[in-house]
Amino acid sequence: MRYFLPLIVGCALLGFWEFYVAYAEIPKFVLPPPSAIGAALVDNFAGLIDASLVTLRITGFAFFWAMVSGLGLAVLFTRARAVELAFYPYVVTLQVTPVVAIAPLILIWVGFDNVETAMVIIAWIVAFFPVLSNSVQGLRSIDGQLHDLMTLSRANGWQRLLYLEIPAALPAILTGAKISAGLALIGAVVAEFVAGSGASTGLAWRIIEAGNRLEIATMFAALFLLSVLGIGIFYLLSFVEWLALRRWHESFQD
Amino acid sequence: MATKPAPALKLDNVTIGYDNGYQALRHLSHAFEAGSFTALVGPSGCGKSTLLRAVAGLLPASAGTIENHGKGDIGLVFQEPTLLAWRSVYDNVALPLKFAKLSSAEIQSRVTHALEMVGLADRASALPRHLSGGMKMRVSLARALAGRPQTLLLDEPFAALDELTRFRLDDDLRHIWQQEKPTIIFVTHSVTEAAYLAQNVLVMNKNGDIAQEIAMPMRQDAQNFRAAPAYHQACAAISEALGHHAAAYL
Repeated sequence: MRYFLPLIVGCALLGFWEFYVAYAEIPKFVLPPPSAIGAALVDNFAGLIDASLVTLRITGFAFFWAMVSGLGLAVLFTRARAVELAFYPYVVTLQVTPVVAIAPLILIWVGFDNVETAMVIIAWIVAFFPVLSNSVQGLRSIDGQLHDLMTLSRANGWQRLLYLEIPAALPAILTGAKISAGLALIGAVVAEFVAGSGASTGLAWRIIEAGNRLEIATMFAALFLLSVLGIGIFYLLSFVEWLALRRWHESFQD
Repeated sequence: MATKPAPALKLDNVTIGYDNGYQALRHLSHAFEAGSFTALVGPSGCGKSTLLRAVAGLLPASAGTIENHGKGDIGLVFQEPTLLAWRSVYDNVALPLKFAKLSSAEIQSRVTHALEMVGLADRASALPRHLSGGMKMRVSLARALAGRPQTLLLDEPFAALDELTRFRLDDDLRHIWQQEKPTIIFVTHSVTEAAYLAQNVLVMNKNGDIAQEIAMPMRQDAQNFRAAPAYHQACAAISEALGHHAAAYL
């Protein structure tokens, strides 16, 4: 039933869409029928897959750096109050400034020769904050007695990090990771839109390009692949979460 | 009278204040004999836990000195089991030994022995979530015992357990103490638990000082101590000491 019901709804919607477009004689450059989108997907399959890989690569790098920097900064923040006091306002500033507004600057600074690097930076800015805030929250919520236990056991800083802090904060860190990975994809799309030149060849650029040529079916095909990417990333991280937490965490009670 | 053994732990004029100016302990002095079992009772907020944390080295004394003459480490059992949820019973008990860089053979023999002492040898591979509250507390006790501590500090360890489980753990703790002879300081809210377990009961007052020290009678009949008149007299004496000081403070 869990898979069957959504499938029924999806088929019904597609059927209605196909029928209505034909019935109301809506032109293809306004709303193509699902069959035309499917055909566009098949016709441009190689190109669209290449574009997907570009977007996926940008998303992946941005997500990786978001995890490294977010987690690293979170550990620094919780270890040294002074570091948090010094840096927090700037982190928040970076977070609240709309990335579309900073993106052109980053493109100029990093240079149009390194568009992909610039796009990774833009996507990273979007993806970084949820990792930081969730990790800080997770690290802060660790029971003080567990810290006392580590002190009493004479654990050094690394042992405290590896044996207590990271595992204890892992549920929160992975929640942050899930949000961040989705945002990294959004960031990558935004970056491609802003970069808006032939130098970027990801899915978002294909959407703009197809739009300019009024190939609306191809636009939809690219959009469909973007959704597939987003869903794939979400389920991949849910799977990692399940692998890491199912044995011991309360959210996976057996 | 036999000569008294040397103190394992000596508090001299210890004062502990917090940043907000509140003083949890004031000029407290006491010597704990090696291998003795002392219970610490007193009203909430009288500084019992603070005293334990200071002895464990988790809190610095603002004034005075704490001398620890015990050779081994200090073991501390918290009020909650304080287990790492993602590590098995065995791995929880082994962790402090791992930090102490003991050989894996030594770790294995110590962990196995400690788990046997608390009766959990057959649950070594279980995760904490699959244990009852009493079992978790036993793991916590085993973890402290595995370090072979000269001094064992317990901060209301069985307070959250049901009474029957508590009675059983009290008996086990007495038994372990008689076998291993660590110096035990046991903080409790329970007058009956203090009277049942300890050789010495320290009654603290709200000023963060020791109001009275009550020596418990020698046990004639260990099996039925809870029914013995000496036990009930001890309970009465502790209650009186507590009540008296509560009244003096009101």
